[in-house]
Amino acid sequence: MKWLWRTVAILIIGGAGVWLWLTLNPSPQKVIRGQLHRLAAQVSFTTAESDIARLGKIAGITRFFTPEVDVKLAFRGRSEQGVITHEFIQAGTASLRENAPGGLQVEFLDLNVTMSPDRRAATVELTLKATTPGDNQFNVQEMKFDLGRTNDQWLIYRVETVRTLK
Amino acid sequence: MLPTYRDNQISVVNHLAYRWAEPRRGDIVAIRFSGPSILLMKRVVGLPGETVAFRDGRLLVNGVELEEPYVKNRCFWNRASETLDPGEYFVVGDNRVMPIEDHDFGGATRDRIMGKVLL
Repeated sequence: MKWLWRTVAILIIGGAGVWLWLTLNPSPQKVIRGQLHRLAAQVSFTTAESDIARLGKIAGITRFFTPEVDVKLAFRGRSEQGVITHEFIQAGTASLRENAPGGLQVEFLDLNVTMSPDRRAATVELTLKATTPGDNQFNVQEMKFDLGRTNDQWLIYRVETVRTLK
Repeated sequence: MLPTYRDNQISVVNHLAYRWAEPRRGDIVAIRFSGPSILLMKRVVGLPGETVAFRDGRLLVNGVELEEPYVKNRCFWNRASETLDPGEYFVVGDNRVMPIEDHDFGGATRDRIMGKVLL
């Protein structure tokens, strides 16, 4: 029976080692998914937020983006295309809050992460779901984010809407 | 999809329906976004290779008006004719009371069609 206990102990220690390694060295895909979920949380807000929290979230939104971001957006017959800066992103976030006085819950669903061959860039296709409290309807938009790795950080440098139906 | 389906109604999707067969005109299908978490429900009205257009609310397929008894409210949509690619299906909802720009419809590639809505 001694061999059995040894085998079990080796398996447990080996499993714990693998778990620890993966926890300390997450894959780029996992890091990117986490980054985008944090972005969704940063954009979301409730009416219960304090002014300090509100200002902090608006100011902090820029840490997810490169200084200049290529955008190509089309929604309900309107389209915008160009390069935007951090100031524009902050202004847009503040404006979004003004237009949704009851709060907003943003979620990114079904994230498909594709890494570039050199693993320094990634493209993420996802479904954005936006819900306002008290409303049983929600808005859905398919999106594509391009991210690049800079100083061990994954930053968004391009944002596009994707047409689900053409 | 009013009046065929109501908002917040629970529906059943047969994911095997198109494993050995292709979607047919009149089928109500579930269409995915980037994944299966949220699905659109639409009716197939145009098949690959066909030309589809809206003229004063009437749906024209290859230039011939399609009978649509499931559409209860007349609309006045206009959309130029377009020919569907191979593997592309034209889908639209039954509820067409809203302005055309507020309605999600158009060509859906085959890989986006997840299954047939049964209920």
